[in-house]
Amino acid sequence: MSDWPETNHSLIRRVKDLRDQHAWSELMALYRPVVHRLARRNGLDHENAEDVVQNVFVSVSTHIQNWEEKPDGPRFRNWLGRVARNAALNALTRGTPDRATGASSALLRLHSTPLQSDASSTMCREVQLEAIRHAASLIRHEISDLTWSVFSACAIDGKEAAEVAASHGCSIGTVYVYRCRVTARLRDKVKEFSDWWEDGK
Amino acid sequence: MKIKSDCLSRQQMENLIKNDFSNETVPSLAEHLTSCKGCQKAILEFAGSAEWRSDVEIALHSSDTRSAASLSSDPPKSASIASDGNGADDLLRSSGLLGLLGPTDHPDMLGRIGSYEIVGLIGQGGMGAVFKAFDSGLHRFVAIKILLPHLAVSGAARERFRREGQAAAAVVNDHVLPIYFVDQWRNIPYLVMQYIRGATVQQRLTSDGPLLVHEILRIGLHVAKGLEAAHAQGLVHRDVKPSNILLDGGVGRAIILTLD
Repeated sequence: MSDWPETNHSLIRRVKDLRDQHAWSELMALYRPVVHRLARRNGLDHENAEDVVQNVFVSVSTHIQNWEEKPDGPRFRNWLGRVARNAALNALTRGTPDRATGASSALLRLHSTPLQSDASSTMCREVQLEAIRHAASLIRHEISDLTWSVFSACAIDGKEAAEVAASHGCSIGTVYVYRCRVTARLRDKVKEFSDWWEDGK
Repeated sequence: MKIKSDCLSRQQMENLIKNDFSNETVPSLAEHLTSCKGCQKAILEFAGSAEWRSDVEIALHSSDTRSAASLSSDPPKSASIASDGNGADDLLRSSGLLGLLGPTDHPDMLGRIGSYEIVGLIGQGGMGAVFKAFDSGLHRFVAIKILLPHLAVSGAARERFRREGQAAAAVVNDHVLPIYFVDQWRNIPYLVMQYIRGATVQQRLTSDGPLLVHEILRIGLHVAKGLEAAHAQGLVHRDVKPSNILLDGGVGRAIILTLD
């Protein structure tokens, strides 16, 4: 029942050039966990959630073919992010068929379906949070264990600076510096992904 | 009392933050930062707004970023009737299922459904959530499947769940999970089923790879027997798949789950 490897290959073959491939892997990294999580939250079990995820990305991959750059249109990643959001919302709300269908009619539907603003903003928010996690995994190797540990104690676990300073054997000032270094680096990294939830006209 | 000129300029903050990621800090600036609350606040704000810092906390709190491991590619937890219930904590927190439960006097328990003490969440399917529970009257563990709260708002869905539970309870066969009892809790129907330790076929496939031919034959035979018994009661399963077949831990018996 699981034909993921083959499906993945056919998806990647459809992606036209290198720019698209990079965009595609970022799209998967950010949207895949979000679609899965929202599907689970809608009460689907793991296997059915995987089905939804697969349907969404098969559908999205067929639409990549139809991308045309227009001088006044959105940029590729903005556009692809919107296609992914619409496909995911359609699949999650089960309002419209979530299978990959004939390109032009399905494309028409994707573009004409009004976004349910609530569900859409929930999804944007989830993608933003996912971007923070993804960015954290990407920058983690740049940062020393001590710095990360200090950051994590303050910014994630919410401990007081004085307590963290004592447990890490450094001054309170140093705690602030470490914490801020990671916070700022994370912010810069996440900015690189902002195309994925902005409309970018 | 610190004099104003000791406070960090924006340029100094930028240098401290952006300079490099080694563990070195400029000692005099760090020293000032240790004692000056104003500068502590200023450098936090310089690194990211309060809203940004709160988003970071929310995003990273649930995932384990302390190790260098990748975060987003972690496979989602697969929970089913067969697991221990430990892996489903996140699901339990995020799904609002806890709100379903009544209060309990036992410190080790999550809550109560009817007279059953809830030990943990085993898994969640399209229709219902399955809890591991303790039946104190009969002193045994049971599995309780309760209709998901957002479905239970529909009277038709409640009725269907109850009817199907009653029909499934009529099937008595070694290869169909026994249903003891059908009842409702705060107007939401639930089924009380036998609790069996083991793994589903899907979990086995995922962890151990393809099955051997004689195992496939044995599981196929058991499933066919179970379905035959269900058909004799006029029931059609409609969703036979590896994740709906439980392998009884000790004896290798295959049992069909969720007749609905």
